[in-house]
Amino acid sequence: MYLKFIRKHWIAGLVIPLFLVSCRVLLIGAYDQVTDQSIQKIQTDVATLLVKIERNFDNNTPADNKYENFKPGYESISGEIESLKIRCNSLPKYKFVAAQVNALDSTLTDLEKFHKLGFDSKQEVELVKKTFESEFSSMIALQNGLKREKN
Amino acid sequence: MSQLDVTTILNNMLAAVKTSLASKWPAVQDIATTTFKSLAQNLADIQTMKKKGTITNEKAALLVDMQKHAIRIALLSEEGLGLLATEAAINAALDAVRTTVNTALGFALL
Repeated sequence: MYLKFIRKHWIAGLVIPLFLVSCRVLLIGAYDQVTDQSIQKIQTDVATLLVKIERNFDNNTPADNKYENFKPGYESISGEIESLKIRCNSLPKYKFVAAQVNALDSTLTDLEKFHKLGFDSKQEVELVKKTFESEFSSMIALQNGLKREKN
Repeated sequence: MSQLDVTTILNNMLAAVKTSLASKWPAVQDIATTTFKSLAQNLADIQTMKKKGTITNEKAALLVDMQKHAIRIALLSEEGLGLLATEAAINAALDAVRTTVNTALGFALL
């Protein structure tokens, strides 16, 4: 009898869950693990770069902070941001995250320009670090929200 | 060169933001206050470095530009989280009447 029921209603069994899912309102894109992990990877790479600069001041080796020593690091982070931009632009209803990634890219461009002019004190690095920390905290807060976890 | 007063410049910035955002202000108040406080403090730090002669105008401008991007990112998060809250409220409302409506209609509309 159960098999008979399944044979008779299998289409409904497929369609109704789809219908129920489609009836949920989605105002902003679904959580994307790759995007979240990419943001965290970029955060680690930016933090590593800034800590290296800071350590060179601590170790009295500020000459090691010349831009050329960090160029590969900037290129690598820029590449990661470009990939993330492409992903975010391809995801539905992801304009907020895409706009955040664009702003993050602009901050990195400013940092690179700053670095080309040269870091002259640890205080400069600290100001830059605080700015990036604020950016990543905001981005991660939105990513956590996108998980739509119930309390 | 008089020393910038962090509280005064923060209050001036927040008053301007409040006027500009009008009805959207309550939704972004917390994050806006935090981010603009950080900007106000950074401006004061930049002034201190400028007084000591440890920062150029060009580098100071880049630091402020970075801060502007940080504010943009923070407000985007706040806006996104606001949309998520709205979305949750709509879905909760639909969940509350789903069974009743679907039963009454005889098919799964909601």
